[in-house]
Amino acid sequence: MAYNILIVDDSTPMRAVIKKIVKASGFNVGQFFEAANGREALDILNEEWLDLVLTDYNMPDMNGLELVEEMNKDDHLKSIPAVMITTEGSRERVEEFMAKGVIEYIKKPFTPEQIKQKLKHIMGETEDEEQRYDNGDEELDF
Amino acid sequence: MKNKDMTTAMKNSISDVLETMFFLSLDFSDDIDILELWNTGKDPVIAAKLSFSGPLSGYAVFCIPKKSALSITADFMGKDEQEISDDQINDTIKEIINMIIGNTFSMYDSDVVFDLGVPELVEFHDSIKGLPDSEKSFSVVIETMENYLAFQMNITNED
Repeated sequence: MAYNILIVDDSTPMRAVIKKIVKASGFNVGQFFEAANGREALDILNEEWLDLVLTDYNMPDMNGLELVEEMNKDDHLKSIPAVMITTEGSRERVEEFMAKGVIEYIKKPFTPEQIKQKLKHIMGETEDEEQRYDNGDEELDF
Repeated sequence: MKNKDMTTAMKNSISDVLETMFFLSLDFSDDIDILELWNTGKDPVIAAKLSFSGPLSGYAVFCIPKKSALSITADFMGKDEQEISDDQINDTIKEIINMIIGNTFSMYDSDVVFDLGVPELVEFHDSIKGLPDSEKSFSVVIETMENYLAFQMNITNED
């Protein structure tokens, strides 16, 4: 199955790189959509059929966490998995992300293999629970 | 704060980010004074600043010659250098400092929260302080792509 992915980041180069790394990972992508902040993302989510959202945290106008909170208020949008891609790596911040509806987080920097494992897990293509909080050499044990 | 621990975290973070996301091989050049690196003013240097707060407050500065910044941005985005705009270069430099400093704090102590500000471009000579490395200020110089990049972290307050 090919998945439609929305990439939300205020940095144009970062959106390009996320797209490049997801492609390089071999994860099956149908179409990429892009937004520069949470507000733009909501507009796209209400117009297009999306399977997955990859969002940055720090963005002007509406940040990644506010976007996820808005998605969770909507019966349709709350079923779309939202993944936070961020430099924020503290245990406390990650727990806050998860408590507010983020299904997974990917810490920058990341490799194609790491992103593939995470995305396949989220879309139910692997049962390997050990990968859930594994991001390279760092493990978060909740 | 132990300067040595933070310097080690910063060096590990720099290697992690630049090698993983930018596919650069690099060496650290500990004996170079960053103020003397580009004092001729021949090569334009881009500087980005990122403030942070938490158990430690202060700011970090990342300096890179524009020529290297163009090359890194083109590689990062998978485009030719002729296709790259100044905005894309600036966004890439801001993304680099954001990733490296965020990653540095995670490596330094993943149990505490540091709030990062929004990266901004600044004038190189105004932002870099010619201070010797101390408990409050330290620098890391990297040699890569036949050129130098530099980071400086300044701690203004410590809880």
